[in-house]
Amino acid sequence: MKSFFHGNGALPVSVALVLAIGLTSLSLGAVHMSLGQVGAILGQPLGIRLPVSYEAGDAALLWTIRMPRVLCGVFVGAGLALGGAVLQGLFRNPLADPTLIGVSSGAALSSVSCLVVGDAFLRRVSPDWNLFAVPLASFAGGFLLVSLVWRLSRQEGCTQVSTMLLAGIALNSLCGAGIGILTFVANDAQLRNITFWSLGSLGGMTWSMVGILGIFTLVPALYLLRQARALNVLLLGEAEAGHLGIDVESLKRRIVLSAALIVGVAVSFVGIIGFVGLVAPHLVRLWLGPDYRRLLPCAALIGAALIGAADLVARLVVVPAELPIGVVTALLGAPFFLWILRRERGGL
Amino acid sequence: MKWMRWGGWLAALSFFPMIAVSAEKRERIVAIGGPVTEIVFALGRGSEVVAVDSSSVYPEAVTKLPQVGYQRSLSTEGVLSLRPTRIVASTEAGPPQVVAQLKASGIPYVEAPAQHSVEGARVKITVLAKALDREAEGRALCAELDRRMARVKALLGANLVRPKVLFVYARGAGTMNIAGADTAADAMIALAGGVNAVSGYDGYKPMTPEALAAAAPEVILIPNRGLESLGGVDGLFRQPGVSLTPAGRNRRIVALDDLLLLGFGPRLADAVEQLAGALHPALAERWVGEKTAGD
Amino acid sequence: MNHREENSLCLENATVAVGGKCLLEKVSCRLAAGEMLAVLGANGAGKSTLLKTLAGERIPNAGEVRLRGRPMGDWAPIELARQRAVLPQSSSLAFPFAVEEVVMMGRAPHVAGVESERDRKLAREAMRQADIAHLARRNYLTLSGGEQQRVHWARVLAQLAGTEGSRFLLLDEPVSSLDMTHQHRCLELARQLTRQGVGVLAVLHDLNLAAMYADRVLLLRAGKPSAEGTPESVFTPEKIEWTFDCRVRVERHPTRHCPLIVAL
Repeated sequence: MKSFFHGNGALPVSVALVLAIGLTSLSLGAVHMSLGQVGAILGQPLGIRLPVSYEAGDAALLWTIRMPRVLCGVFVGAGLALGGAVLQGLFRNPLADPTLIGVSSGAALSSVSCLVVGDAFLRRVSPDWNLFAVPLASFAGGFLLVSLVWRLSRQEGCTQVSTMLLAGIALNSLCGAGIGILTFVANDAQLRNITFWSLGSLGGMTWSMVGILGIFTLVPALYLLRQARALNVLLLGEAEAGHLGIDVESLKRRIVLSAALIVGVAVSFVGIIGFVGLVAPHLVRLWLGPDYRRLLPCAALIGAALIGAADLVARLVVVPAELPIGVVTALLGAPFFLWILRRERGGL
Repeated sequence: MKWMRWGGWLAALSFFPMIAVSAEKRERIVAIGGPVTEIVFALGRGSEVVAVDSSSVYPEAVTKLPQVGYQRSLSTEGVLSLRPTRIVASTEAGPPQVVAQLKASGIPYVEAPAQHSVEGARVKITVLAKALDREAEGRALCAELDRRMARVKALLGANLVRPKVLFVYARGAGTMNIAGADTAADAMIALAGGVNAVSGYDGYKPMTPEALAAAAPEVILIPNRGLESLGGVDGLFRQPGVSLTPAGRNRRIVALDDLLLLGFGPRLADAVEQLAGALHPALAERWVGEKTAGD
Repeated sequence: MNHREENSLCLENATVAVGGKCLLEKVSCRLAAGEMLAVLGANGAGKSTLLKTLAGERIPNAGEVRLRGRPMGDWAPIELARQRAVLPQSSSLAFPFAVEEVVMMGRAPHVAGVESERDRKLAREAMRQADIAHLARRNYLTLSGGEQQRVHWARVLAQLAGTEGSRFLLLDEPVSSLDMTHQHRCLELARQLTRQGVGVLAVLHDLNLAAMYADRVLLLRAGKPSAEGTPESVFTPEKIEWTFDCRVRVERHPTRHCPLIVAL
């Protein structure tokens, strides 16, 4: 059993975990549905009839509100975990996380600009302006900052990973200052919006967001999964990877591009959710070892499960209100992570 | 398993009132935004409100209702779980995706604009009165508001000495902000016959001893909750620079209820009368006399 | 293209400069398949730069590197990796791979999908040769420096194994962290490889090890070759003194009959 759990069984175990958390999330919430009712509602369009009665309103709620929310959570969690895992490989540092290359702070700065400056102009264009403007600005900002970090780390046609790290840190604090200025000029209402955006939320997810998140997560994810062996070799060092036949510059560029896409789209829709990008790959590395061929798929699934569980807690503890999910991931994730670290120390 | 039982219990709780009242043709209203909730009650439909947001703290009855969280961070499912037949909300409600989902849910969604003026209060009342089928009551509320505002204006007169008032928004000693132009506080000070001690910027800026000295306010206006967060009047005086201002030397502090002062709702006239009385103590006596005579 | 070029890794008039400082100045050198060339010189003489340039890791500012007659840039990285392996001076692997997983990475240029049984066999054989078979399942990070160095030895052995024809192995101070037994064992292994058609270039510090194992020796001084040839012709007191600024006496090794250098 133990070897199954650590070997070929790891993937099915992770899939089962995501499914279990997904189904629980579909069933629990401010409006209660039994698992049987969830099954009946899900089976109905497939022509499966279960002898469980449910209200039409519940079915609508499940299809239009909970299902998109759960699916978005899966994509966001998987994306953050994958982004973290590959950047840890790029920086050859198990403590790296997606914020290092500036995706989150770039996204944060442009979202906050949008919430403060855009508030004045875009309100006239459309009353629902921030529905599309904030995600768009956020994505563009994240991407812009990553490309800036990338540009700054280029020397003689090569990308210096250490320079990249430092450029990332410098630009992160620059963005922090920018956000500081914007919060200074923001009015009370804008300030509140900024606070809630930066704590993250999976509330209000729709099917069109599921589609966008799905495409922007799955395409880079499939690419990254195919690069698992190259990522392993990269852990030996860039020169060594080059000697083993890897086109290192091109690989680095693609890793950064994929991670920026996958994390950028997640941040732009749900705001900043910390910790998952760091913790999910870490947990899986403790569980299965550092081999990216096993690490990447399981880390993606564990990331999805973590976000799912955190969102469930966020939705349930203060019903009918809800907590920002970023608060939950940090509040539950940090102590759990510390506990694992203490227990497994030396295993890293 | 425990969670599931708990969820069921909550759901049962929220279903219960619906079963109990479904015989009458009553609505289940979720009210979001302090002034919005006040207006619903003032229009006489308060008993149909089943839940409010955390900024709704008046009248007393709402404090016993379930809360759907802060108005800017609502949860679609949380609101829908209360099975509302109508949602009335301030335009400040959010986040936008959630508001979009609520509007799309098919439940009538009424938006009352949040504006910091007498006209704004009138619009709020009129919009909600129309939506809640209480247009006569709405007109009466507006007329009353106009009558009392006109009386305040007449009493304050034209030859009035307008004191310089500084509005402090505080959430603990570390976060103290001063209201500039284009804020609810600025509008209230003007209505009550004062003049904002600071000008030259819109919105709120952090309070510094220098800014205090430059503003030289004769009165400091602070909402009750802010004053509490500083540890009362003495706490406010301990803040650097406060005791050096004319207001500090004469200990002229006016503290009023947050929602009353900044809500621009149906109690706007109450708020203006109270604030004007505090800013112009000389008028206060005449004030009380006329007020009782008038009512 | 002549036969000599066809089977060698060549540096032609290569100059490498960084920030105005010349690391290599018009250096030419040729590593033929089946021979072992030792590169020696004082610290900063340009040994590692030479190795990196031959590995294709560093592109010379002037001059050219050719593998089997073709300029380095014309080879696809993966084609290069199938016939040329590099053992770095030290590795910065900071992730807890099992030893066998690290060795298996050497097979990366040869594997398209999942490793075959043949790949696993070659990796096991490489571990046996590097004397780390007993460590196969150990966590790489828990090994000593010398053991880690042998893991990378096994990795490059696995990379070159199972391929026919001329191949090249570049060793950057391969024995620096090894005990005496394993120093000799590793260089012995390198010699064995030359018999299978592998051209081995080793950057060494120990003149006596070079004298014992190398077919040819190249001495570098301040980015320029100061002597090149068989150990007997290169290891003379004058040439060593000119290269290292150190006075030596050259004796005869009692059993191997190669030069034996003793510092004075």
